[in-house]
Amino acid sequence: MSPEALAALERYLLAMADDELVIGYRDTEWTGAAPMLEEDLAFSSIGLDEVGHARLFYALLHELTGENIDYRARRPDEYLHARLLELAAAPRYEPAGEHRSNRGWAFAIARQYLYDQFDALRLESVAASTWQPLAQAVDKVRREEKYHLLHTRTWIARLADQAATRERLNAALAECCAYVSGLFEPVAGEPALVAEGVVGAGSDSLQAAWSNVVGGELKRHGITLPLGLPAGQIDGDGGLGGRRGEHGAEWLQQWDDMTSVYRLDPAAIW
Amino acid sequence: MRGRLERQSGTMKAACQIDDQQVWERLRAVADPELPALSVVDLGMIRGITLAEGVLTVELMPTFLGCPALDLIRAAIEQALAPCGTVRAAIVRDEAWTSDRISAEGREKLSAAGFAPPSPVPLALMDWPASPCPCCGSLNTRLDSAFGPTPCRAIHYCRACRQPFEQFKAV
Repeated sequence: MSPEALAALERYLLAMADDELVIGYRDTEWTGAAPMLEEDLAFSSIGLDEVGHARLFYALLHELTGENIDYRARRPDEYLHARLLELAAAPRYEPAGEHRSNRGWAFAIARQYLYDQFDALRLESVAASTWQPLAQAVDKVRREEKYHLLHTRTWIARLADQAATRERLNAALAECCAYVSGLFEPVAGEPALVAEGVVGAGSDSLQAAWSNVVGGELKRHGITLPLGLPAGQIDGDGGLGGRRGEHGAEWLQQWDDMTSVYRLDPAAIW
Repeated sequence: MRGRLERQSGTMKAACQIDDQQVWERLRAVADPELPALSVVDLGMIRGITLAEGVLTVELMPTFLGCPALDLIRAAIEQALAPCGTVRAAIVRDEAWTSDRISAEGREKLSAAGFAPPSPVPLALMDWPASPCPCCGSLNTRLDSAFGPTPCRAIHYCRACRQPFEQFKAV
């Protein structure tokens, strides 16, 4: 592997790991707050899986660089996840008594579905990676991810089925679409990864494939959305910046939550 | 493998001889904390054991990557084998654990503990094959949720005996 590809692979693995960690953490916020008990369990379980996948990718990064990544001991601008994933969906109860309802459960379903479809294509694109440890490790991840898509696709169909829930789903998908370009923001040096077969497909072709899959499935449910538009044609910035460590205010809150116990005593052994 | 390990404690020198059969025997006593009826061997979580430079390495395959019991299982393995010397439970990343690795004995123990066996992963939730009820054996059952109390289990309901039950998921 060339030095350029090696440096890019570090960022690529970090982006994969941080994506999984950040959405996994957001998923677990539904424990006890989802509309029904089965969804408490489902989101908690999906969240556990995602955090487990993050752990695997951090371990691969360790194998690649020899450096151990402690996800808690990083500054907020050192995380490379897509900004879509840091948005708060579950309701939040402040200790002082204030209640924030946030974006809600339809948004959580819409985001999980759009992300899982993206993640499935990304995993497929590294399944034949020329960097063996990555190619071998993703087989396990793909087997587990099947259940996530099975779940979210079913919910998309159910929510699309009735007028009232369909309206909520549409609004949630539209809100996600303002951020989806961030999923396809390439890490610096991506062309070297594609040229050397470390990843099978660049971000552009991933986005094209994703638009086909997601657009086709939503269309069967009678939903059309501005999916796959270039960032400039979407309101706002398209959720870009995450792969360079640029994030929004909600991320700072999540980072603060995620690392608060660790920061009380970084030397403590748990 | 025929391994011989030497262990020193203080000024006393005690030699601990162990062969792979004894290692497997000890591993058969390490239970999955979330499925105490089954051992890590029944679940097919042990890919192999190797001895090199005085370190006994146990290759451990996670059933699910995010399994919160994984660290406990690792610690339990290292503790169970501690009398044999320096032990390291290493997580296998280059090969996926699949539910096909559960042994025949493991499947019997699952059933006896009230779990339905894994069935093939369907393409849609509504196509999930009916799981046999572990209480009455009926196939008149339905999937309630693909996600149960742990990442590796799904929840079903038996219409015949009106009993909810869990299934070990296929991966």
